[in-house]
Amino acid sequence: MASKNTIQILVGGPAGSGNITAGLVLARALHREGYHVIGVSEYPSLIRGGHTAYWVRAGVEEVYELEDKTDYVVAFDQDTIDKHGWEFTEETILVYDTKTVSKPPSHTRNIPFPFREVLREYKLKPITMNMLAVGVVSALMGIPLDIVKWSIRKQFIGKEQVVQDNVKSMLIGYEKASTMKQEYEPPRLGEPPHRPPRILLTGNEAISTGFVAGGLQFYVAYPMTPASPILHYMVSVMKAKDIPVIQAESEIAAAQMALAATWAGIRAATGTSGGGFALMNETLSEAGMFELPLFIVVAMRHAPSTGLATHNGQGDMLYSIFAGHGEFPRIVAAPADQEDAYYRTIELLNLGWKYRVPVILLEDKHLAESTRSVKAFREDVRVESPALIPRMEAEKKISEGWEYKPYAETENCVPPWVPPGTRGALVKAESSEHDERGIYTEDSAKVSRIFKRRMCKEERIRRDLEKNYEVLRTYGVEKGSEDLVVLTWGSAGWAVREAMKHLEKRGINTRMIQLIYLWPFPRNKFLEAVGSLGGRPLLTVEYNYRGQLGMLVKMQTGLEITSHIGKYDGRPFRGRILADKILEAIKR
Amino acid sequence: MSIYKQPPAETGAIITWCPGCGNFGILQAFKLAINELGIDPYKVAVVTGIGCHGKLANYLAYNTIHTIHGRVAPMITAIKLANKELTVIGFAGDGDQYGIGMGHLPHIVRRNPDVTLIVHNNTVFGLTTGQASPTAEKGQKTRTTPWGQWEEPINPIAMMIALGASFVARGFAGDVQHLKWIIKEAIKHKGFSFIDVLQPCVTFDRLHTYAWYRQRIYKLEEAGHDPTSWEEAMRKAYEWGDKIPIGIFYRVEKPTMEELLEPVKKNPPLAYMEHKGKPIKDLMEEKLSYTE
Repeated sequence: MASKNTIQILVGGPAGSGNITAGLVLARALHREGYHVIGVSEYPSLIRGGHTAYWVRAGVEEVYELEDKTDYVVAFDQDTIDKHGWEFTEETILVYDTKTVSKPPSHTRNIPFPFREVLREYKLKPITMNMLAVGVVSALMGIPLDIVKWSIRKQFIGKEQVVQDNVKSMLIGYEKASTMKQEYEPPRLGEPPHRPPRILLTGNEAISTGFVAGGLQFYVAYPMTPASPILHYMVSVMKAKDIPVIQAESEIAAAQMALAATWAGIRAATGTSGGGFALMNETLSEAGMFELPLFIVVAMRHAPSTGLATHNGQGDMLYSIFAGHGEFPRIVAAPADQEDAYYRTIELLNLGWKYRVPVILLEDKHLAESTRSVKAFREDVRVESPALIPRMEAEKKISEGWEYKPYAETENCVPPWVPPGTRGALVKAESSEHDERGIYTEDSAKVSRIFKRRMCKEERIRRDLEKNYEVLRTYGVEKGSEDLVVLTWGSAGWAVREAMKHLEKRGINTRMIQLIYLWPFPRNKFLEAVGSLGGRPLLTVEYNYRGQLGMLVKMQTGLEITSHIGKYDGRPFRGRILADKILEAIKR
Repeated sequence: MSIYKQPPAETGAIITWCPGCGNFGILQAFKLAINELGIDPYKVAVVTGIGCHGKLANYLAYNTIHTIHGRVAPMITAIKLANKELTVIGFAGDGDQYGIGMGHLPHIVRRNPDVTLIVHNNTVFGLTTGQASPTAEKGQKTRTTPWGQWEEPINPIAMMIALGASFVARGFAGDVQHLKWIIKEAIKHKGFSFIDVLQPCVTFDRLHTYAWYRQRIYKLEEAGHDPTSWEEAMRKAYEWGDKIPIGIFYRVEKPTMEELLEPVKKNPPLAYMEHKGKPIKDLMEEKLSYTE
């Protein structure tokens, strides 16, 4: 049997039909087998009804993004055919519900399946209908039964009866498919490439796990898609990991609580999306004035305004960099993928308490909610807060004659902080301009001096980032041998990496630069990575209209972008379609 | 007219309130209360909002945050969460708390952290030169109500009792000893305590002068008021005009945030714990489909 390098599965149906769960169970099983896996959801902003879709793409080779062709489709509604039919081919195997799908396409390999009749015949729980489909697809793909069972068990962890009901349905589906007469061989994947340990997770899960490993001591947030899963995760580990969590009354309250807790000397964070971040702006500026590491996760979604609440967007990059009134240093980083998100979360927790500046972890919905199989995380990560002197140590220094001033001039521009409650220390944070002790002043000389000292962190952070941190990643051919350079960030990088496979086949050599640290902008490292272009095109690929990374690059380096390929419909690029757009752009 | 010399505070900051400002009485009563309770100054955390009252942060030799407009309540909540050993006091203005910051009041009540919130209530926005605040009375003339206020005022006491605050009191900035007693009772109270302080603005409020208040106020504790009765407290809260009650309207014991949030309850103050990571292997196995 001819095996394939990658396989894409789509499970579509009305919200509440369990199609996303079915997709997750398949993704996890393929992950368990050892394949590279990504899982991507698309759902409307409602709870019941409407159409939802879940794609799984698995590969022997690394898969970064979805493709424009789907190998297996499970349709629980006609919408699955009508909305996604464009990705079906003659080889697509379509398993559809005979009750709800009235017009199946004629060019696909169809397996009509009377889900509801089978449920009745075998006395299965109606809610487990999606597992019949899991069984059918698993059998066709040749996923071993014990692995599918493992995946179901993980899905419904701790709910034994639910596990049994779902396994029962899956087994019926598996058996039915195994006995079907086929005129064709269903596509199957080649030998899995991976050695464990590996994990399967979303960007939000990576950030939350990073919070635990990075010593977070308080999480506070107001619900907002797509950041809410971080709140749910942190609540779920609150007791086991001893990290208090509060659901605040607004994003303003959430940011204020996170800042006040930071003032008290702990590692605290909040998370939101664009609209909530707008409400946090005044507090962000306050954190800039206090010089305290307020940590905000900004999980972007399609905007402006309410936008598409459950869809992707990268419209808030420049906003994150410049939000808040006045000038103050901050750090903005956009992780490259789910694995990166874990390590960057810890890094940012450390950097905030190294420089006493607010930090923003910028992710998009696609990263926040798409799942990916990656290497298991290292636990031996560094957790350090160089700008915070613990109470006992501070009290000792003070008893030896140290006069504590929260805004003292220091050689590295970063005055140390001590937790309030330290004997002998007066810890003041003043939102007006203030002197070294944190006492209000309007004195022109004092204001100029403290302003300059506050701002001088920015250049120091830039140099530190460039020297000691992975501020960007480059992929593709060697510098100088490329036909074009693509600049990208966040989840847009995934589609670019997939497109590069197509471009290579067409003889186009691409080099891609994925920016991770966006502010302070790593000018030198960036220019070094771009190298001498000699007239070759420099493109940006981003999920926005204007090409914000390009705007930032031009502002920071003077470099002109040749062309911007944007997408602003809330959906991710597919690899081949993006490759076509890139070809078109460089021909111009 | 003699030239007014602005007095220095113990922090070295110059006190820039108007001569005769009600804020002086509140500042004095608060410092006396902390002293008499024997609380170490370094274990006090104060948050102030924006407005004349907010300057208090600069005049106190305690740990302070002078935050943005209206946000004292979430800040004092989080400070108590991060360091339950601190005595945490918030000061807010009437515009600050009952205007822009109103939305936080129900939620600090719901969480019931063991903190105290003192609202300087002078019926105007003083520092922005005398606009009407949400407590300005109907007909009161201010910069933004030259023909008399047309909006209904807020009744902070009734509102806080209705919300279920576990300690609700009203003080008068012109009676420092009495206000000191209320603040001490509020700090000693386990749970969230709220004090609205009648504070004459000598520059922008021609109606509510010290004399106006003195003619009207009487002390609840001298009038046999039972602060454990919700109905009685509510009845007193609506008394305003010829007779204005001050003192403790209502007090009740409820579990606090620090008792209800397990990680806060069972640990020493989080702020004194070392910054260090926690193991995640178990999370990878439970939540992240770890494969071996």
